[in-house]
Amino acid sequence: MHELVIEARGLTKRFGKVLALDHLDLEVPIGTCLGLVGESAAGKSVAMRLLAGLARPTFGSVTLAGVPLDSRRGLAARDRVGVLDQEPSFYDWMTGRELLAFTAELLGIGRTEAPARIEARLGWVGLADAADRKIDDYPLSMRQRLGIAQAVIGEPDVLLLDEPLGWLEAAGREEMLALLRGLRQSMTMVIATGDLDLAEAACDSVVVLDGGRAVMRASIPELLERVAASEYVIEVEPGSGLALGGLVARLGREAWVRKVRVVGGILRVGIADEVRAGRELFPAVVATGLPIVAVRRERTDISALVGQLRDVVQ
Amino acid sequence: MRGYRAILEKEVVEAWRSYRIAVVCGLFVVLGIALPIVVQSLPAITRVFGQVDPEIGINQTGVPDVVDVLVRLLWQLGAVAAIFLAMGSIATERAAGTASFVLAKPVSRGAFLWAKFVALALILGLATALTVVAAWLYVALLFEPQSVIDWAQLWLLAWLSALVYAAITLAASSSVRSPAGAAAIGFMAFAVLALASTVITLNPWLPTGLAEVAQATVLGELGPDVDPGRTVAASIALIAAALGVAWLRFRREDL
Repeated sequence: MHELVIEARGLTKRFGKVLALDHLDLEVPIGTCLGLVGESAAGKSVAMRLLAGLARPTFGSVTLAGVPLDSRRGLAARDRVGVLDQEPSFYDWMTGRELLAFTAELLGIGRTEAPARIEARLGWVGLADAADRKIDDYPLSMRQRLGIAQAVIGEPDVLLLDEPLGWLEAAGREEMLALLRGLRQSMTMVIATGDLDLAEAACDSVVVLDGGRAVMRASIPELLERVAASEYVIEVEPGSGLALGGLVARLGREAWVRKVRVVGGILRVGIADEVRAGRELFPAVVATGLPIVAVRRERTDISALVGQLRDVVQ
Repeated sequence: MRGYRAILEKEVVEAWRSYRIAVVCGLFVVLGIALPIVVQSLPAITRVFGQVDPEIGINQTGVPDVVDVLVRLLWQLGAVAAIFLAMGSIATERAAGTASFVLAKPVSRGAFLWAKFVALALILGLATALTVVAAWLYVALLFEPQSVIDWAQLWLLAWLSALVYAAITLAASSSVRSPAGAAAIGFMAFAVLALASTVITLNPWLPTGLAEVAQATVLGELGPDVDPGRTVAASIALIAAALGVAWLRFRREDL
C-alpha cells in the first residue's frame, strides 16, 4: 500500500467570489488520524467534500493511495473510503437495516455476506433495537449512529468523518468516542471538527483552518502545548470589583500570563507558561485577599484557539 | 456501471412505497377504461342534453374516434406524468443530501443517472401499457376486436413519446436546484414542441409526430407520406441528447 493514504496538493475551492479553501496541502500517512479543526465556515466541510470526491477542486488535486481521485481508478478506489457527512441524509422511507443493505449493495458486498455484517454494525452502533424502524422516525443522534454504521460497513481503509459526534447526546458521545478509538487501530482517518476534545481524543495531528487557509499544523501534544494552553477561571464573591481590577493589572504585566480578563465578574487567566503559573498564580490571587468562591481550569475552545492564532499572525 | 442495479431497485421500491406507481398507473387505467365507454356513449349523452342537429350532431361513434381521443390524451397525459415523475429525480436528491450519500460510494454519476432514467421508463412503460391494454379490452367489448400487434405499436410509441419528456425533465433536474424549476423547463419544452408541431414539415421529427404514426398504424392508414422510422429515430435522438446533457451537467456538479 502507498505510504501516504491521502495526499492533497494546493487544494483550492472557490464559489463565485468566495474563496472557501485556499491552497490546502494535506498528507495523511497510513494508520494515522488527522483532524481538520476550525470554526464553522472555516473550510472543513468543503475540504472533506473534496477529499470524498463529492466536489471538484477549483485548483489542486487529491490522491488516494497514489491514485488521483478524479480518475477512473479513483472511482474504484472509493471502495476503500467510508464517508460520514456533517448532516447525515438518508432515504427516510427506508428502515435502518434497509439503508445498510442498500449501502452494502452499492459497495458490492455479496448478499450472503451482507446480513451478518449489517447485524454486526447495527449492534456496534447501538441500533439493533431500532433497525426495523423507518429512518424518518430516528432522532438526529440515531441518524448519526446510522451514519457511522454505513461509513464502516464496507470495512474501509480510510474514514472521512465530518463532525462525527455533532448530533450525539453526552452519553452517546462517550460511547461513540470509544468506538472511534477502536477504529483507530485498523483505519486511517480524517476528522473535521470544531471540537478540540474530539481532536485530542481521536487524532494524532491537526490542521487548523481559518477562512479556508491552514493556519497551523501540529501534533496533538504540540497543539495543546503551544496554543491551546488551559485557562484558569477564578470566581470571586460579588462586589470585589476594585481588588479584581488591581489583580488584572498586576497579572497583565506577568510574562507567564498570555491574556487576563474579567468576564461577568469572573477572572479568566490565559496561561503562557504552565510551570510559572502553577507556582505564582495562586499566591498572587490569595495576596489580594479576594474571597474566592471557585477555581477551575477550562480548555481553550476552537474560537479562542483560532483567535490566538490570528493574534500570532498579526 | 457499479451500483446501477442497487439504485434502480431503490428507485422502483421508493416509487412503490410513495404510491407514485399506484397513482400514475391508476390514473392511466381509468383513462384506458373510461375513453371507450365515453366515446361509445357520446351520441346518447348528447341526445340527453337536447335536440341535436344531424348536421353537426354526433350520431354514431366508432373505433377511429376512440383511437383519436386515446392518442391525444395519452400523449398529453404521458408528457405531464413524465414531467412530474422526473422533476425531482436529481434536484430533490441533491437538495436532501441523499445524492452525496450515494455518490460518496464507488458509484459513477452515469450509473446514478441511468438508473433514474430506467426507473422512470419502467413506471411510464407500465402506466402507458395499462392504458392501452384497458382501452384495447373495452374497444373489443364495446366495438370490435382490434389487432394486438397494432395496439402494441401504439403503446410503444406512446411510451417513447413520454420518455422524451422524462429525459428532458431529467436533464433539467440535473441542471437546476429545485424540482419546480425542472418541471418548469419540462413544461416549457412541452409547449415549445407542441408549437413546433404546428409546422407540418417539422412534426414528423417531433414526439408529436409519433402520435400521428400511432394513429395511422392502429387505423391501418399508414401511407407513403408517413415515415415511422424517421419519427422514431428523431425521438430516440432527442432522448439521447437530453440524457447526454444531463450527464455532462451532472458529472461536474458539486454535491
